[in-house]
Amino acid sequence: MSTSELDLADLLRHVGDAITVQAADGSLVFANEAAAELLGFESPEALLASPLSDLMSRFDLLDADGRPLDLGTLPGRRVMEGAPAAESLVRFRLRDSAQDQWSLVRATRVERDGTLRYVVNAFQDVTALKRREVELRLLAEAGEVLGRSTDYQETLSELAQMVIPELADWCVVDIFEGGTLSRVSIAHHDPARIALAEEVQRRYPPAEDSGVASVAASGEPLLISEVTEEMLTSSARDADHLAMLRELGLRSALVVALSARGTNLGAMTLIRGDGATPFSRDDLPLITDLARRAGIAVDNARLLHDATESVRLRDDFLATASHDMRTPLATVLGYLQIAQRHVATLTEPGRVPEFLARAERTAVRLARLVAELMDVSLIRAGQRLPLALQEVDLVALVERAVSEHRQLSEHHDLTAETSPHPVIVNSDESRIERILDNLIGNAIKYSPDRGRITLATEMTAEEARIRVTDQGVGIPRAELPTIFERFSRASTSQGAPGVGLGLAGSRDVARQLGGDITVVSTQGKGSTFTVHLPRRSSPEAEQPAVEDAPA
Amino acid sequence: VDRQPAAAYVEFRAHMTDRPVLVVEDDPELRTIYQEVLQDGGFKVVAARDGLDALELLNAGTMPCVLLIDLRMPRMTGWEFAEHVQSDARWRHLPLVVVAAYYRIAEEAERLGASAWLQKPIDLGRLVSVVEDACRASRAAHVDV
Repeated sequence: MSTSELDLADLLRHVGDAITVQAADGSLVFANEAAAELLGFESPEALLASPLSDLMSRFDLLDADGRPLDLGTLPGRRVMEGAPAAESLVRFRLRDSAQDQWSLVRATRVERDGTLRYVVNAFQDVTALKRREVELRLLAEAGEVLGRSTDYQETLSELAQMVIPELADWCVVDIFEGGTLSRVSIAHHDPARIALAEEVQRRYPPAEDSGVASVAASGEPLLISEVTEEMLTSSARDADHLAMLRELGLRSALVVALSARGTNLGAMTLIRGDGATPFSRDDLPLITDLARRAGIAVDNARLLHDATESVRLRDDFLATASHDMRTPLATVLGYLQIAQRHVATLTEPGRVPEFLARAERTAVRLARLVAELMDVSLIRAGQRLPLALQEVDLVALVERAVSEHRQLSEHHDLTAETSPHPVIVNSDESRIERILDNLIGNAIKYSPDRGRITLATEMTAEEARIRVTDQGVGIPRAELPTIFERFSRASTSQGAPGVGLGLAGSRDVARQLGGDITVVSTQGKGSTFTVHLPRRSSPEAEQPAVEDAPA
Repeated sequence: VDRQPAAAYVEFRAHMTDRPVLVVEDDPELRTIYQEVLQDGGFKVVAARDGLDALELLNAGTMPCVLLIDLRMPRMTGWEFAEHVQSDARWRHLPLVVVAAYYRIAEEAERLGASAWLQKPIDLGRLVSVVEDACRASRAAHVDV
């Protein structure tokens, strides 16, 4: 060896890329430090001294797609067989650590006098590049998957499918639905394993303080590089459980929270099984990024759902409102048209005042409906009603309500049992009228023909009361606690509910007046609704009946 | 002021007074109005406050020339009533006129096979002419049968 050759060998020892030199018979005659490390040896000397069978038992060779590599396609072999140079991407997986290293392997033929002398193999470590490439592809695919549908359960399932087997053997996503964590997807390449995991989940539901639950609650990631036998034993509730956990083959886990706009939405759990590289802190940035994207997708899907739902509710409300207004409008216009016709044809001009009076009465009803609509909208928005407080005689008000409804419902027997003296409160007359309209309307609706409906007034030291008593179907005991809940009427009454106050709205209004509505009912015998009103309404001191009144 | 109805109107009235219009409407004021206007137009009118009452009238032997129905009604809606009528050979041929506030009235009327529909608030002149047309068609169909 000449001096220059020695320098060259020394130089090669310290090059960052792994370099090996094979003699014409294929035996290794040179390796540098990097090559020893790549192939799992302490030093180049140890590598060179090792028999080929030992060498090959230390690692698996995989192609770019992760399949076992046909050794004949290695660049060194191809050059040995006559190619001047060859190059391919190879993954070395050391059997000890299961760590993958990607190398771009280049082999070059060195000839002298037309005869093969050496093959020089250079291994350029492209692991970081490859990993970044995989990550970018995954993130791009994730973005595509997550943007595909507004059904977040579906997209999360697709996402879970996508990350296996690239990032993990298992991918599980849990999302908060109505305050509790529920599993929206679980992915593994083997359906039998999924079935087993689901059985474990069913037979041994995770505790409130499980790792997944605490990550979902705190937002802090949880890394378990190695799932030890002790961990399995301590978390197993019985021997069956332990056997099942072992069978699942969980070796390493990473749990990250899904969140958006400062709210934790759930957690994504990635698990690697036997033979896979354990999770490390290095995996966190990518997984966190994936989880962040998934969180935004869930959030967007929910926002879209909420927006769509509120548009639908508004459309329903408008449709019902226009329906409810068209009927009295038809009456007003009807009477006006009849009156006009009688004036024009002079057939029965004497009846014209009657028609006009009916039209006016209905127009007043319509105006009340419009006002009620406004109140409903304010109540739904959680706002206070603008009250018009004045002295109101409940006796006169009740008698008026009874006579109005008598004209409208010839099938029921409406009676006012009022005290002979006025019952005066300081309150909002039109609001009390609307509450009574609703209660009487309900009583009529749930009473048989010729059913008796009685309105009574009463004054105590603290409050005034109006009672509306019917002999109708009554309310089942079980439903009593919920009848004042919004929309509860929709499920029990025939046809669609109107846009009126309903029981919920009536009670809201009564509370804003400083009072309340209570009910006593016996199924099959009838109900009594009582409106309680303070003698002097001081609504300023009252808490609003709704939760989020504006400041 | 012309107090005389048109000649065709009188002729029509002469033919049609035998069978009434069955009005099915839950609003008492509107029932009164329809009754008033249709009687003025030469029709007999029988009124029911919902599908259930109307069905009772039919079962009791009332044979109207046309059914004028609302859709949203308590106890038995117009939809349910129409279904009952159409599943019974005695009444299947009766023309249906839907008069309702329902915002999808056109689709619903078509679905129910109605011969005409009017959305509330309605023009009462239109009501009379629509009922006349339906009644005439009903009569022609009845003669054919």
